[in-house]
Amino acid sequence: MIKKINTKKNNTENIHHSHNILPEEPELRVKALETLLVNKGLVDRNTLNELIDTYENRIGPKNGAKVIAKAWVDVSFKERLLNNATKAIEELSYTGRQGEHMVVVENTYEIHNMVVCTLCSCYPWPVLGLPPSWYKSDEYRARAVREPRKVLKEFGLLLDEKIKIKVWDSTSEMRYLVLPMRPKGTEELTEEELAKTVTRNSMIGTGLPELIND
Amino acid sequence: MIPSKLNDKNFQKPWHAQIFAITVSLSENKVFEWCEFSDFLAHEIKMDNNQTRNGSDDYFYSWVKALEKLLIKKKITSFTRMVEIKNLWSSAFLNTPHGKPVKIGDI
Repeated sequence: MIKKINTKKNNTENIHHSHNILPEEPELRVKALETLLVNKGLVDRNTLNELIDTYENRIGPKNGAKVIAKAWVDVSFKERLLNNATKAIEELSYTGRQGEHMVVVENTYEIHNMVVCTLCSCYPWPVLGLPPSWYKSDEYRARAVREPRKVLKEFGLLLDEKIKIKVWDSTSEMRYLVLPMRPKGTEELTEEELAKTVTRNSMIGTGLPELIND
Repeated sequence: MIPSKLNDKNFQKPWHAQIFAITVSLSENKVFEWCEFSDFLAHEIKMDNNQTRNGSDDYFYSWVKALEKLLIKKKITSFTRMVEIKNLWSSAFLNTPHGKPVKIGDI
């Protein structure tokens, strides 16, 4: 939101037109921080641009989808994934910031897993990218724990009453990824095709894999 | 109702991306550990709990405040210094002729 500043109109011809628009308060504070930190040599503008490009364009839930698809077709990988997720995910080279201390929780016919970070927004960046806004919202953080079934319904996910919902609270020391159940009727699909059925929300637990009809 | 169908872009405004990148970069340069920042962010979110938090603008604003406080704690800068530079930017925005790049001088 850009704040328009009221200025007195000056009738003189040679007065320049200033920008007259002041960025919003947090943007100014970010600008101040950046100026200060670049000046101190603590951050570099090119590095900042590279980081933004990486997280806007290169890292995302496609990585996590590949992990899930592999677990569906490779039993021994699945076992390694459930025993030591960080190490198993490393096999696919999805490592790096916020990719430490990973735990994979498996959905079954009896249990549906769902992930939240009640404190802030801890999330496994290397496999899911950055969290969506709703994941960081007050409402999701508070209600996922209090009334998970209702929240899932709002996401369009209606679970049978018999299925137990387990909510996992991610922290900076423990980040969860849901291993959804492989959809029925996908026996003929390749690993690559299976990966396309894995949605981001299915790995957070607020959705299920989706079959794409060509 | 959780606004799950809203715009799901990682960064909805350039300053969201900027503060994110600054924080990651500082953590990688070992100015602080990521978990230290997470603690500050969690605290800030708790402090701001009275406001409606949509997970976008207000979330990143808490992020900005958390980083400022952590940098003050680490003695990288002071509140006064941050305000001083912020004011330089404000004045540059208000006084730079339209069409010219907004800049501040040496700090």
